Amino acid sequence: MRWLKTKKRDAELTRELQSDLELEEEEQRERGLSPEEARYAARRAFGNPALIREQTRAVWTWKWLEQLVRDLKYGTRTLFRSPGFSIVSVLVMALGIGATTSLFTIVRAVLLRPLPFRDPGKLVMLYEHFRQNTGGDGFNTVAPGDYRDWRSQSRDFEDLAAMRSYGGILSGVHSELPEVVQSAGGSANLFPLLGVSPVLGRTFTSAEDQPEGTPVVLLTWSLFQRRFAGDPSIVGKQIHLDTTPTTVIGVLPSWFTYPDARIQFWMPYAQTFSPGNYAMRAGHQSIVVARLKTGVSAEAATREVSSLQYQIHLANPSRPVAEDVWFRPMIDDLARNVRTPLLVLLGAVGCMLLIACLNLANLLVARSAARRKEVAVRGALGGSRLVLICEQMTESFLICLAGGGAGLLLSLASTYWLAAHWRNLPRADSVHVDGWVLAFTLALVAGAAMLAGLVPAISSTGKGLLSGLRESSRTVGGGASRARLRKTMLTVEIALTVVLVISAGLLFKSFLHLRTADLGCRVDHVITMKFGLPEIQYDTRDKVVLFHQSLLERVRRLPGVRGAALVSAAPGSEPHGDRVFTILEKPAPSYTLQYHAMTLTADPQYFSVMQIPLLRGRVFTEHERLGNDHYIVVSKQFADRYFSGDDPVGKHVQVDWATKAEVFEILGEVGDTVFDVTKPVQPAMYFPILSGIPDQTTEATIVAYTSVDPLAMSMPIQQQISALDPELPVYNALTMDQILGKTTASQGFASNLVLAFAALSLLLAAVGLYGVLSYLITQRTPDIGLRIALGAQRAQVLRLVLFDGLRPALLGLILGWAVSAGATQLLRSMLYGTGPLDPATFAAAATLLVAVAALACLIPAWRASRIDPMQALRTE
Amino acid sequence: MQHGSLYPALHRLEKRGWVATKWDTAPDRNREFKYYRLTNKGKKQLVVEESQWKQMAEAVALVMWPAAGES
Repeated sequence: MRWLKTKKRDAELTRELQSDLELEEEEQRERGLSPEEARYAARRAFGNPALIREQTRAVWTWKWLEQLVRDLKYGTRTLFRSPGFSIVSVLVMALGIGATTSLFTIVRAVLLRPLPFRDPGKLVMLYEHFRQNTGGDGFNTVAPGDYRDWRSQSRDFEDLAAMRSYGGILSGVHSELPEVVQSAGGSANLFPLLGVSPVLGRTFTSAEDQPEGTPVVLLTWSLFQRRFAGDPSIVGKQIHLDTTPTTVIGVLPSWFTYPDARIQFWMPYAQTFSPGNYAMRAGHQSIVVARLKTGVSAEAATREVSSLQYQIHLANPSRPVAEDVWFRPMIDDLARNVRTPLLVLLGAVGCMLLIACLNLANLLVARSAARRKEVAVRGALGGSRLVLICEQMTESFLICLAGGGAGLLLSLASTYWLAAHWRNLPRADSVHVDGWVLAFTLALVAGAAMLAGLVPAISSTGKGLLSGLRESSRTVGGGASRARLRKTMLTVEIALTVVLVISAGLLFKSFLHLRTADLGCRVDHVITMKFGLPEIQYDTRDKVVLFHQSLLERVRRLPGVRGAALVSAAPGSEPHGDRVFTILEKPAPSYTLQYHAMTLTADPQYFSVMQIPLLRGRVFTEHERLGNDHYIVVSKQFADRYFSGDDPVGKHVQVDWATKAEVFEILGEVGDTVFDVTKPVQPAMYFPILSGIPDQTTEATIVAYTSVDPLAMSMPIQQQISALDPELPVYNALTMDQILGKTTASQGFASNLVLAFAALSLLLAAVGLYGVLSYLITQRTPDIGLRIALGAQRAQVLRLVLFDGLRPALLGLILGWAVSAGATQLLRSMLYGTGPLDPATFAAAATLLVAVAALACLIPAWRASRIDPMQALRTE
Repeated sequence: MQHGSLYPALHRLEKRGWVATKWDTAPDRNREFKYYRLTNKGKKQLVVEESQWKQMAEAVALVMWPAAGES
């Protein structure tokens, strides 16, 4: 219908213009001009009839839509004509857009999306800050005594709640199916403060939130589903926690995985302390979350609590009480460990996308060169520049759209893979693709299409239209400005690649450094296994020592075991914590935080089994056991830091336990072992595990040095443990190699990803270099042919072309170096064992880039030197 | 001005319904021409446009020759 109407109107318009033109012609003729002259004069007075018809038609029809359809048709046809180019370009864009979308999805979920709590912008985390603490970030966990004072006296916070991570052995009422799980303690007001209500039952009451309150437990959704099959009748029933009968009072919603998805159940905060410890100021383990009152800034509210803390500090001069309180918004607090890696990865994929766009732009410039004459003719005939630009942009738009579609599919898969494989990624379960992500992808597509299409389109429709027509007869030196544009883009592309390669190199070097880190002990053929004796059954020193002793004897007798020992925590794993102490022979001038060390317990053979060298004095013997336990062995770092390297043997330290202080004599000094490879070595003191003190030695790790594959020994050792106590669960059966792999996994993950992006970018840059040079050679074929005909040596031609290609590469390299010098500063917190300006990495990146660039240039250069002069000159 | 460029403008007026067209034979020539005539709607629009033009012209005059308005 509509089409018929349009057709009729077209016919009428033609008739109208025709009649006007004829009338004009008649009038001119009447003025006495010859018919020929009259026709020309009429045309001149009337104007370009084709253009006028177009413009008049535009009044009636949707011109832009028609044009769009036509452009799309042309674009699709052009793309189908060279499927190889199209497929490669779409794939490259898909990779770039897909990777950027994935990272954006994760960054949005982890760093940007508000937390799922009531009014989350008002939630801050409070930490203690020791003015003399130089290591770490200065954010220290809080002592329960300090938290309770803050809560009762602060007026600027609506409320403060505390939580701490905890562990526990969970079993049925008949001690069946024991399992060791992670748990947390939360104060009674924590869930109301966050705005979390349980899906079943209720949360804690303040009466329960007392050190000796009724034992109650809140299950997380995952434990509820996994262990209790989602049966709601569990609420009100009892389970055993560390063999204590405990009532289940509620189940938390499935979305509540704060602060960690591994937490299986929550206990009242105060019940994780003994009555004596609930008021302590020397032990720091809690995390405090506070809700701001409306209209009060976090700074002001924290200042109030901080001055409170300073009073507490002054009132306790001899104890490790912090001077200040620092705050951090809850959302930043949660993402503090992944923020830099995430942003680095996002930057890396952004660079890769930019490189892909530049590459596409470069390839499109080459293609538009082939249509230069056509564009010039159309421009000369009155085609508007905008129309011509739009037409050329369609192609890049189509490529980016197809790439965006494929990239979205790619990112759907890769986002979930990333979220699942990134260890300890907070809020990983909230990562999903939604409308915002789709909008982001569309924006990326539009941006990429603009970037990749606009530059070639503008340059090919630019001012040199007439020169385009003129040039076409002789191609010698043709398209010089175009070549300059392409070389500029290439330089930028290579500079970006250099930045990526250098960053990836630094991260990879750090990872290797961590991977090959010397733990200070035997790593091969060692299996470790943790267990914790419930303190209800193992309540005396004799019982604990009896268990440890019999276990050691049994394991040492196993075939395949060369040696076995007990330690509280194996190197590379998470240690128990540290203690403050004083040295009797060398009193500190005033109380400072310097006097603290990691506490470990070990049996006499631990040092020889793990090959930890004895440096001075001696290690424990079988005599340091039970009551005869006031002896310690210290690490090299301990002696270096607190005795300035002097002999510590025979000196005495007074250790501040929670309830009392005790004096220990130093027996000897051993080599350092490393617990966290990403941090400097900590001083350590070893206490005899055979003292059997229940709350210090019941959690133990058995380490066994085997003559066979260590993993194969894990079952026999477990059998020995269950032969002694069938209800005792065993966990973390890991070889030392596995422990080391686990601690470096997240560094390895980030560095491997960046490395992959850098490799892709390098490939793209090589393709770009090759493409530009091949194009230049094609353009200069007659020129080179002429040179060869006039006597130029092939080696000279080779050198000429090679240098032509390598110049942008070298320029890009220098530019990339300069940018990297700044960019790698941002990586500083992710680097270990190497500085951000590591000369070896910079040199290696340069060598790699020059090698790849030379390779990419060599093929076109060699081809140029093979040009047959006769053929080249004849084709002109 | 080339008079061909009138056509887009004429057709725009026709589309808005401000002019009506018909094909008719000219009295003194033996051929058909297309005649454009103002409709009632077009006449009303003309009044609106005219007053707008006047306002505009007065404003311009006031800026260009401010003294003339005062004296």
